[in-house]
Formats: sequence, C-alpha cells, structure tokens
Amino acid sequence: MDCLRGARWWECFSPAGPDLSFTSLLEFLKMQKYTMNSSQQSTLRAAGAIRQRLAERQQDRDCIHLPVRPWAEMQRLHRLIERAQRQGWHGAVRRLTEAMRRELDTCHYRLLEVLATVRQWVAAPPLPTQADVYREILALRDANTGEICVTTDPIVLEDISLGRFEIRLDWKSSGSGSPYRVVALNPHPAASNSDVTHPHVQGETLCEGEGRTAIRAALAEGRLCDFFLVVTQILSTYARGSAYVELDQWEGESCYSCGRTVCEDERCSCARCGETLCGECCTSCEDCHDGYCPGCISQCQVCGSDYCSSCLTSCAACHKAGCSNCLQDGLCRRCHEQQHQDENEPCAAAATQSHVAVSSHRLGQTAIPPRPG
Amino acid sequence: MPGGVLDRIAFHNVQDFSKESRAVKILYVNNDGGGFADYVETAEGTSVRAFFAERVPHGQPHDYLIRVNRQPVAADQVLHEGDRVSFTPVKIEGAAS
Repeated sequence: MDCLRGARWWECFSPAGPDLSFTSLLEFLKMQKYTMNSSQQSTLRAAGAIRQRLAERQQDRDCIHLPVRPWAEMQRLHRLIERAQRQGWHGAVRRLTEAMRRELDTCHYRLLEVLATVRQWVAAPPLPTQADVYREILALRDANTGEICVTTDPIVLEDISLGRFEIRLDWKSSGSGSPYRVVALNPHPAASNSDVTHPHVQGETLCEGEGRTAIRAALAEGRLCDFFLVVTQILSTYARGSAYVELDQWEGESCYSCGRTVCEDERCSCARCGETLCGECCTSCEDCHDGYCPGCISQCQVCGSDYCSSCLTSCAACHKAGCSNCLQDGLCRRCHEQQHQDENEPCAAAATQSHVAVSSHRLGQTAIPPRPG
Repeated sequence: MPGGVLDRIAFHNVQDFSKESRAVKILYVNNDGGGFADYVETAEGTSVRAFFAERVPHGQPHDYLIRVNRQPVAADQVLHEGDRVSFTPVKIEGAAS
C-alpha cells in the first residue's frame, strides 16, 4: 500500500497504474472512504464478469486420462512372466511377453496424449487479474453492460468514404465463435450489395483475414485494447482481390451501351463479347434466348426480329440472313416461291418445243423459236 | 604485489558482473501474425526504439502502432520493469470468406 500513499484514487486504476490485486485496491478505497460513481461501478462489475468468463474458459479444458488399467495389466503380466520363467514354461513366456508388448504400446500412446495436453496447459496464457481487465476497459474509455463498444475514426479507402464503424464486443459471448459485430454508423454500402458496408464486412461480420490469429489470442487473454486495435487496423486496410466487393466496383458497374450504373440484380452480360449491360440495353435472341449488346445482336432480314448470328442462316439464293422461321429448305420465302415458279415453267417450254420442225434428210438450219421469259 | 592493482581489477570485475545482471522484465505483445504475449527480458535502460529493433529486426517502426502500457509513447522513452509493450501492424489485410 505504500506505493499508493499520496496517490489520487483513480490513479490506482489508470492503465499504467500499479499492478496490485483488485482486493488490495478495494481495501485501499474503503480505507480512504472513496466512493465510485455508477459508471465506474458498472465498469468494475463488467471487469469482474469478463475475468470470470475467461477463468471458466480455462477450466473447460481437456481432462487427462492416465493409463492406469494398461499399467496394472503390465504389472500382472510381468509377474506371470517371471513365474513362467522360473517354471521353464517357454511357450507361456513368449505369449505373455507379446501381450506385455501390446500393453506397453497402449501405455506409450496414452502417455503421449497426456504429454500433449499437459504441454498445452503449461503454454496457456496467464489469466489476467480483475484489475488488468478494469484497466483494459478504462483505456477504451467506454463500457456498457453486456457490450463494450469502440467507435473508429471515419474510414476512407481509395477515396471512397465508408463512414465510422462501431466495434461491439459482447463480452458475455467472448468464448463463442465471433463475439463481436462491426456496425456501420453512416452506411455507404456497395451499390451491388447493401449488406456489404466495407470491403471486408458483410452483414456486420468482419472477415478477419491476416488478423484472425491476433484477434483470437487477444480475446483469449483478455487484452481488449489489442483486440479493438487489430480490428480497427483491419478496417483501415484494403486488401485488393480479397474483398466481398472490390472498391473499383463499389459504386456499381456501368452499362457498356448506355453508361448507366447497374446494380447486381439488373446486371447482365453480352453472351458474345462479355460486356456488362443494363436490362434495357440487353436484347435476347428470339431463338436461343441469350442476351446480347446492341453491337452483337442481329436481325432476321426477312421478318426483322432479333437473333444472334449463330441462329441466322443465309438464303442459298439471295444470301439474305434469315431465321429458322423464315427459311425453308435453305431458301427464304420469296426465293422458295421463285424456285417453285421456275420448276413449273420448263414444262410449258417443253410443250412448245415439240412443234418445231427438225431437218431429217439433209443438213440445214431451222429457225429456233425465241426462249420464253 | 600490493593489493592495490589486484583490488582494483577485482572491483572492476564485480562491477561488470552486477551491471550485466541488471535486466528488466516486460510483457511483450506482438499482434503481427501469431499475436502472442509473453514476458521477456531486456537490458535496463533500453528505449522503445531499441527494443523494437531488437524484436522486429526487419520491420520499420512507421509500419507499426507501438504502445507502452496501452498508450502511444515517444521512441526514446526508456522501458521499465513491468511495462507492457505492444506492436500492432498498421496494415492488416482482411478477406472475404
């Protein structure tokens, strides 16, 4: 207590204060008849509960099981082997020795497991004192019953302002998977997904990436300041290529045809050139129903409907591009009709030609009637 | 030989021995990657800058948030017994799970 003599009472709890037991500090306060306001009492209660939770987590550790039964069995087999050796029962000695070897293997395996567990116990981080946790909370300057909240400075990544974020740690759940949330106070979410308020935050859940191990260690050891510091640094860092929505697409993608910003629900892409299109600029082929940009869609030259180049064929006669509805036997309707006419007219010409005289006896010339058409 | 020279030599050696044994124990928190916290010893009178160079030989101080007892400090501040020193990278990349 000598080191506290003359100190103002709140200095006992300052982040750089003396590392005395919490009980000693409370005794000191009681002796000096100092009282704490409701906020400080609340913080004290929170510090006590957090430490209790950390202590419970340490108690929930694996039990060790010493190989008592295999060892007892080995001792029995050892006695039997000695007796068999005295009696000269060599066959029995061999069988008992083999059985003892198996029990010895079991003992060895179980002892290795025990050793691994005990090593984990030894390496476990020291439990922070209640005063440590109280100082952690003081350093954060804020403490609410159930949740500890820290607000970041405004986050700006590559000239995109994402606003402030509140990191809310539910210390009652500090042993469970993800006991904290990242809440956008002035949301500026991605245009394509309103759930993504930060490149690495979706639905108030931060994807920790490189910071995962440091966050887990800080929470396990009750180092709340370090936890909030690491989360803040992750929010302040942009990892290109590892984001829910990349920053160059944060305001949405532009339509290749009209330039309008397109959200994810409306977005489609040209099946031929792959460019991004809005719903109005994307035209579907009447046959295959794929979407195309204005530059890649074509029209049937017979009916005028929209088709992709793959679904159009050329008329064999006039070479016009036609759809499957407009072409029959490789010809458009007009050429098909023309062909039909041509097929009928040669019969009439043949009938006319049968009345033309043919020179039979002497070589000469005969008048050739003009060709029809 | 009169005890003068030998006494001076012996006294000098005693001084060196006591100087070498003076080390301070501090809690070192490295939030870069592993995030371990452990008690380490460093020579008495070591500054924060020197301790950083000792522990993060390939790092640059401006790439880290350096805190002593949870507070930002000057680089030439001397570390004392029981101090809590933490180094947190400025850039920690998140991901998209």
